[in-house]
Amino acid sequence: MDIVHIRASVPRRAAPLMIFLGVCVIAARAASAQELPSGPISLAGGRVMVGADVSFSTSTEKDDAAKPAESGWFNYTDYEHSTMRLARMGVTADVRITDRVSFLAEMRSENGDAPRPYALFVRVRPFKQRPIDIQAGRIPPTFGAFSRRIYGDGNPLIGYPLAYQYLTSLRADAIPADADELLRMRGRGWRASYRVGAQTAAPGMPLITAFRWDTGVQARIGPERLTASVAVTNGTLSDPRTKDTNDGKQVTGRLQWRPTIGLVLGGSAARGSYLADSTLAAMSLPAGAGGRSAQRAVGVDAEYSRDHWLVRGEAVRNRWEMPTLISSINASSVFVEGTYKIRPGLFAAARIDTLRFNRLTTPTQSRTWDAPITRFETGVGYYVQRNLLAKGTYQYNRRDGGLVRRRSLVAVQLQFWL
Amino acid sequence: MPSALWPLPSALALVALAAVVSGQTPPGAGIIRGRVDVRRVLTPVERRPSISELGTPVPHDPIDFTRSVVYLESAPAAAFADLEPQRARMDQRNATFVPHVLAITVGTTVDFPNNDHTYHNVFSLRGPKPFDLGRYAAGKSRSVRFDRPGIVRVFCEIHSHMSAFILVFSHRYFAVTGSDGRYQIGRVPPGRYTLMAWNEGSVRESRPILVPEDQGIVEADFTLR
Repeated sequence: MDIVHIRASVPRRAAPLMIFLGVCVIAARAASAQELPSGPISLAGGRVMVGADVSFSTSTEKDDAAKPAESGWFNYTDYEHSTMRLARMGVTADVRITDRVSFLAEMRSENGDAPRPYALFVRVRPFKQRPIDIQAGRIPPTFGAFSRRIYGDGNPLIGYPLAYQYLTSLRADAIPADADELLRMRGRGWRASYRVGAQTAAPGMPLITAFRWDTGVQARIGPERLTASVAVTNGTLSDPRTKDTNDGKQVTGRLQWRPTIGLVLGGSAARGSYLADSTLAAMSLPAGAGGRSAQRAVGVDAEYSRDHWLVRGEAVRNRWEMPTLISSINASSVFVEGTYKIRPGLFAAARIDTLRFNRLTTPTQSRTWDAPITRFETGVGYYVQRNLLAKGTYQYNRRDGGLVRRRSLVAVQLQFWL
Repeated sequence: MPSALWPLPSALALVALAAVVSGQTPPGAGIIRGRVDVRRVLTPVERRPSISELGTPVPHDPIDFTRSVVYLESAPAAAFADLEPQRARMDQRNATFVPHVLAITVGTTVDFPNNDHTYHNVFSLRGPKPFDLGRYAAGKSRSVRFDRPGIVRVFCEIHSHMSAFILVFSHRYFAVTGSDGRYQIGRVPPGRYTLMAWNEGSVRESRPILVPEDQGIVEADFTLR
């Protein structure tokens, strides 16, 4: 895991509290005496904008490594937290250095961990009148749509789509020696271990992680109606990295079209090397396998809204090359979600989601290389105030593998942002 | 906020005032007029840091914070009886509500036309009239009738920086200041009143006034800091 921890002089558990208190102090100074700000805090004559996201969620899900027969790990992330039992605090800042140059950052803490830089990049608009932007640093994801709408009320439910969160049994720092070893890890993405590479058990990778951003350079061209974006980054969709661990960069492209108001269509593609050089060096390759270690993905997404309805959907087709196997391993995911506003401040939402894997055949068995999973989540949200949202959801997971194959849970979440 | 505050937007205020003036003037009715000088430094609610955008967000028009509303805290009983249903308008233009402050009487229907090439979703969660107009495209308009007095905070669900105020009055003795800060409240029956000056969410200053019995003009200036 390529996790950058910021050294903090305060105790680890106190760091998020310090951040939150810091925001509150700034907020109190910026606000009138009677009310807290409902929007971001403006400093230095509007050149510095500071925002915050705080959310607390809890659920009936009680995964525990000491009770593997009862733990499904359906909502585990690559930071080893459950999205359904998560305390998250984030502070975002937009520092406008000139009219064309901005510096943007987000520090985030989850479940009391030390804050880490989730985003850290500079945005340059080289031509004032032309819609061209260049971003460099730890940049927002180019691929797909969901990763960029996790702020505020962008996610109408509490859980995340499978493609962006569910841990497959693959890792970037360890690989199976053969197909049988990979098949033995079906449904064990929360804690996978292999003979080649790192020897300790660790979480696997999702198709696209929504919990870490990659580092590199990104360019966006075109007006709002039709935009093209391309990025070159150190990591891959599954395993974003601050420092590269191999020679291969990832190239990601996205085309977004708004043919009419209310309809957004997007297409994305990415290719990059996901295996660390140390992993490749640790194995003995079969004849003809070469050093193949690419992750390739293509995706389409759509959003349509009208009146009190909002419908979104994404489909992703992903392929990982595995140098110890002759055939590539594929995964596909599709989700559709809808939101309907029942009355002012109250909405209902639902998402149906599936993640599928291709079949591997060995002399002894023929199975999908990881356990296919289907998820349904539905719930309601109520705006206590404009930027304070309470949500309650019911989630059902069904998986064709692992110790726990079905899991229903109820979750609640409180979100505040400015 | 007291329940008796509420006027019309800049342009509409003139129309409303004209209508009021053309009506039957009570014997000895006077005029309250003056200027509101807003010296408070107000920072607009901006959009949240666009951390997840792939580029620079589209700019929006600045908000005019200088418009204030001046009104009588209480009014003669007759002022509540003859309110005619009216129509007012709050545009959505360049990702901004125009006007930023609208003052109306109870029973007024406000149209919210979308004049942008993107969706807006006008809503209000609290106050006398919670509503959510949903998403509708450019050239379309939806309406809300306000039947109770109070302050309505108006927002756009899609554009977090967009906000506006609608002040719904149960009497007609109010005015929105013009671009020069000037206001005029006409047809005020003689008597003692408390004059309130409201700006950006709350009453900033108030003062007692006396409208004499000789159809006089009462001058009242405010400086809001």
